[in-house]
Amino acid sequence: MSDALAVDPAEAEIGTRRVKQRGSGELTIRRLLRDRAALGAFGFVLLLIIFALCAPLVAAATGHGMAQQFRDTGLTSAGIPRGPGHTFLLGTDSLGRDVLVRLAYGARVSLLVGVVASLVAAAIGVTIGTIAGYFGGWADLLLSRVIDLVMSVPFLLCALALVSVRGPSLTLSICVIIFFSWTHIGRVVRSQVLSLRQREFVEAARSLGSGPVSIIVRDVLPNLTVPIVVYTTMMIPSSIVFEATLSFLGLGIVPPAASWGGMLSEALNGSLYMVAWWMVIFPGGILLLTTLAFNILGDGLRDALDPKARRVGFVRLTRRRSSRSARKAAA
Amino acid sequence: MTSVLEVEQLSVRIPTEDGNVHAVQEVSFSVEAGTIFGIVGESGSGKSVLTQAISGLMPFAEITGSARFDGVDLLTMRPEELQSMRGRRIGMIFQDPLSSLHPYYTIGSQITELIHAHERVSPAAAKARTIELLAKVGISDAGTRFSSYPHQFSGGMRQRVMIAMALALNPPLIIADEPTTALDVTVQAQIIELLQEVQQESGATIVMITHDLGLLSTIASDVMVMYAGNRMEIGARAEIFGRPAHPYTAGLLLSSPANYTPGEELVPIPGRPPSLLQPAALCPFLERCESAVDDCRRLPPPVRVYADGGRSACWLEHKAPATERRPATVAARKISRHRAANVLAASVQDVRLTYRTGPLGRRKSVPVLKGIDLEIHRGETLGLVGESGCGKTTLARVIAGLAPVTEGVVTVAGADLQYINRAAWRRMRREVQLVFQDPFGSLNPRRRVGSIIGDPYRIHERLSGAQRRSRVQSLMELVGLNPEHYNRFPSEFSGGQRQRIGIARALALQPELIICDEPVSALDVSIQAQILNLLKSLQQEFGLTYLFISHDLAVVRHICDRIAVMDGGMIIELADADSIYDAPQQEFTRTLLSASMSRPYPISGQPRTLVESLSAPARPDGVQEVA
Amino acid sequence: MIRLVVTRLVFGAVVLIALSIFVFGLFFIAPGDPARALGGDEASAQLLAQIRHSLGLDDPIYVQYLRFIDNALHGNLGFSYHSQESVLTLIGERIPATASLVLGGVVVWLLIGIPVGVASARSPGSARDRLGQGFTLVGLSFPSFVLGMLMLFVLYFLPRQANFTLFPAGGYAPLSEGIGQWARHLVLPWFTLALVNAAIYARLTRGQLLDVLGEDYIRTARAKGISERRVVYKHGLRSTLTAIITQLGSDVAMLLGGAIITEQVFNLQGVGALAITAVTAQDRPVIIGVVLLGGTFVVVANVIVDILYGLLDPRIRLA
Repeated sequence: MSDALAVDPAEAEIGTRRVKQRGSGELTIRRLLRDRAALGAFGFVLLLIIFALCAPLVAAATGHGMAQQFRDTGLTSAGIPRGPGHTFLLGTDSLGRDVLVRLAYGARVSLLVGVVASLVAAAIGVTIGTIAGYFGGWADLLLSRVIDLVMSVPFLLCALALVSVRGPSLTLSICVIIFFSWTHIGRVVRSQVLSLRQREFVEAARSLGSGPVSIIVRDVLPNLTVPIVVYTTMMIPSSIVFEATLSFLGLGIVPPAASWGGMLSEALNGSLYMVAWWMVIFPGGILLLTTLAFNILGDGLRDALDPKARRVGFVRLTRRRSSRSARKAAA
Repeated sequence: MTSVLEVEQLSVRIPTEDGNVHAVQEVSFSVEAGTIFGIVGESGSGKSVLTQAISGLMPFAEITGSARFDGVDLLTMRPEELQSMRGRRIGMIFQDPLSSLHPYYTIGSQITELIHAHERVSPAAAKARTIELLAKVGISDAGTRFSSYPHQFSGGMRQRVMIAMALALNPPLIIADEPTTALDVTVQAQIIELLQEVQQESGATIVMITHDLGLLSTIASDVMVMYAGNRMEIGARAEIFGRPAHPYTAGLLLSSPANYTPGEELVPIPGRPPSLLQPAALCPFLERCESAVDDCRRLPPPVRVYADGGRSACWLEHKAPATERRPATVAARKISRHRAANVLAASVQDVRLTYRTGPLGRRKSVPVLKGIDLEIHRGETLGLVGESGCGKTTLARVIAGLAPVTEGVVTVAGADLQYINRAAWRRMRREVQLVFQDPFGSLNPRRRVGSIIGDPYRIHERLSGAQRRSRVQSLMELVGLNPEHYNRFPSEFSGGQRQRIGIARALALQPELIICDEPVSALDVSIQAQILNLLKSLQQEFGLTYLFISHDLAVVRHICDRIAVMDGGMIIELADADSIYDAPQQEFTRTLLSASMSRPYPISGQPRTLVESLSAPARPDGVQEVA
Repeated sequence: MIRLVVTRLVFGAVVLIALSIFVFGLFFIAPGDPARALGGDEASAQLLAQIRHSLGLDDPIYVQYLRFIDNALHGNLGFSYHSQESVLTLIGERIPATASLVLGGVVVWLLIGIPVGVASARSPGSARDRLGQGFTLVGLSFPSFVLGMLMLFVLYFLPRQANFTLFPAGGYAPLSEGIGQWARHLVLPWFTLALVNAAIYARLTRGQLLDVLGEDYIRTARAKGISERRVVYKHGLRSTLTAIITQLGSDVAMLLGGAIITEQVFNLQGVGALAITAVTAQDRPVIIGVVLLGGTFVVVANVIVDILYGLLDPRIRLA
């Protein structure tokens, strides 16, 4: 389909203009509603949020505290964790703690880290990308080099070094994640601003006497809402995985606080999960489903917000398309 | 005479997210062997889709009808058969030579690839043939250029390479899809000449697709006019240009500035093309047609067959009525006498601009403007003409205060741009405004039209709310927009309407000088005339001063009092419009003139003889729309 | 072209200097005291001072830094606080495992990612494309350690319960034990490391190839009458490859992170595992050494990628 249209977009475009006059917001929602996978993903994320918010209720309902160890009821006489059953719906871990309750508390950590880190990283990335792209010159040179620098640092190694010095903590995890995640969106925004800046409507605003701040706020950023929303959404799952990884390596959330990565790490410890599969399946499964849901949601948002870009998932590397189509139009 | 290509009842539907686009609807034509057949149409007319559908380059489209080439129907061929036709039997040349060659392969290997695809020849033989071809299309030193990459060639040279590629296996049919559109006028002329030469030498048939009717008036033997996917008229060149039968053909001829003679007014075609999402049940041109009769609104047009062989899909029987030009109304006549006062709106004295590029240490200076002197008088229209890269847009940005000069003085409304501070610069914004080339790029797609046009009031007069709204609405009315569309987004407007929005924005603060940078070059001919006439009448009403930049001498001649010709960063000739045309002093001006002005084809008053009328069968899929 | 490589090399040096300052500064402001860690809680102040002196910890920070750089340039990255062995030797011992893992992983991910992406792009919207896109989505979402543990469970533990050994539980077998043993130990780690990236590359390849296939020069290629296969592979993929290679350059840093995790899951005694041990033991010279070596690896890989990129694109090569 896209191929047929790629032949001569100008020719095919004319016709589409007159018939539908729906607002873009309405169109977006219609497209989203048609996307069943995205709807399902959205539903899952909602359930997860409720699950996380209700973590104390889960604890109260089961009567098991988050870090409470049930060495008598929760472990077999051989000290092996108990599988899913009546008392422990999803089984227990090596210390006899309730996996279900820990999952709920772990969801809080994951969502908190995912959302906070993504939002802050997106804010930093958008700011730096916009400044570099709009002002160009030395600002661009400097900031682009900084982005390159951060991107070419082996981040997990650096995170290791950092944690070894400062000791693991939730705040440090979030900071590390932010520090190494803003660059991607920063680069995307920079290249988009760079091409937007050359568009004639920005020149028009400039020639009317608008200042740079006004141009950025009124003319540049509104045209970037789609990539910003999509990339921020896509950053949530990678932040969640990043946190889980840190915790898995023992560098994230400090036990006995629950986190999915930490739970998996405990399962790996002494190959315990070979006999207690629930210690892997439940945290691993919920982690996978969460990232999957956010990724599907991000894909769905992109398709709905910008149907023409359906096929483009990543940064376009060298794009001169806009200038070329302008030339075509000029001809 | 035998026909090489015979197309019957061809329809192409392209499925899109918004529904099926009926890009081509039941088009028939036949192409005589050894001729140049022209297909002309504006954007959206389906002319490119048509030929690409025939040659199998639109695998996702639904195609019906037949297209017999050498006696075989191309549309029933298996994809592999079609593939073996392409390149061997059908050569193709595309619009944009910059993007039509693969950037990673040498031009030689791209041509030999085509030879190897269809013939068993040794690499050496293919190479020798390629070099011969390259030499034939006018590439000097073809032997070495064989291993050059596309980026090492200029646009015109790349188009020559494309032509060499199309010719490689001596195909009987060559489809040239807007082969000159992306090139400078002088290069255009060379490419057309080359195509003609090639055609005569090889005896191939060329189907030439273009939006530029003037281009065909000298080279095509037959012409088909398309509109909104439909064939409006087809016939021999003399008839199409001399006594067009269809009002649309006549309208195209009249609105084309290339046919303009001083003292006359361009006659624009009102309105804009229809949506292609529904096939037209009636004549697709109905809404814009000034000669429409009652029958037009009831039934689809019949096909009129004339004694000269031409056909026209129209209820009119003999010829289009409006083939006479109107003398210019007083309002639209040139107003050079208004500048008697000789007040300067802006002046440029010995302005130089040099860009410094390249790596640190090895910086190169690239002079863009090499000493420009120019005076723009209040109330006049000064044309600035030149080819791409001559510095005309840079000069415009300099005068607008958007680019700093390296040397020289720019004065606008009495103030020297060099010595003003930020606040004064902001105030200056009231005095110079710009109208841009690209109607799609110059309006922020995320803002409503009201806020776009109201921007100058927001910034400079701090007007708000109802006051701003009423000012904006009266501006919209002034430029011919419906003021009720205040709250719409730019994407809901057509190209011509967007250009009106841009003009309204430039007009808002009643500036001393309006710089129009190629304001109509992105528009279809029928719309161009609307905008040019609007600019003229606004000037008449408000005594505006324009600096009008264009690559198209025909357009400039229509609207300008004086014309400056630029080449290589310098103004090489500056004179009254008429003297430039009648007695150009510089060689470059003469070349430019001869390349861009097609001689107007004499319009004959003779009616055509109708021999037969084929009433169109009601189209099953569209009739219910008849209102 | 040469200019490009030189610029890249200079930038790489800047990255390394920044990195060394970062790790060094990090440990300078660190709250922990290695002398205390070595000497134990009972150590007298005199002993601590002695330890500090012998480790050079009582010099000003810049002296320590310059001495370290000087030594590093002479191939001496210092000695482990714990085993007293040379850091370089320690790392050197671990490199074969990590190199086998990383190189094999890259090969696997490219071999999965690019074909899946091409298959998707050749018929967008088809069942094959949906399958490819589904793979991409799941692959993107799989945290690699979850995948690794799942694979161990399904491909090692379950078969073993059925008294049938498919793959070993983990560990590294050097090439000297035979290429079969070596590969058998690495298959699961390779796939663990590769899957996420294969998904990213499938998506990248699909997007880029679709973009390229919409270009005018692809239409020209079709107009020449060459086969569709040739259009896609010779004309389309050629342009796509440059994009993939660029991406490869920026993914080298990520690759090292993946290696650490994979080594942890499969108990491979590679450089990553060394780093984790060093972090838990607060063995600073080892951490610094690993970070710097990792950085050097990334920088070198990036330069290679840039050269490749230049070679592929005549517009850069001839500039």
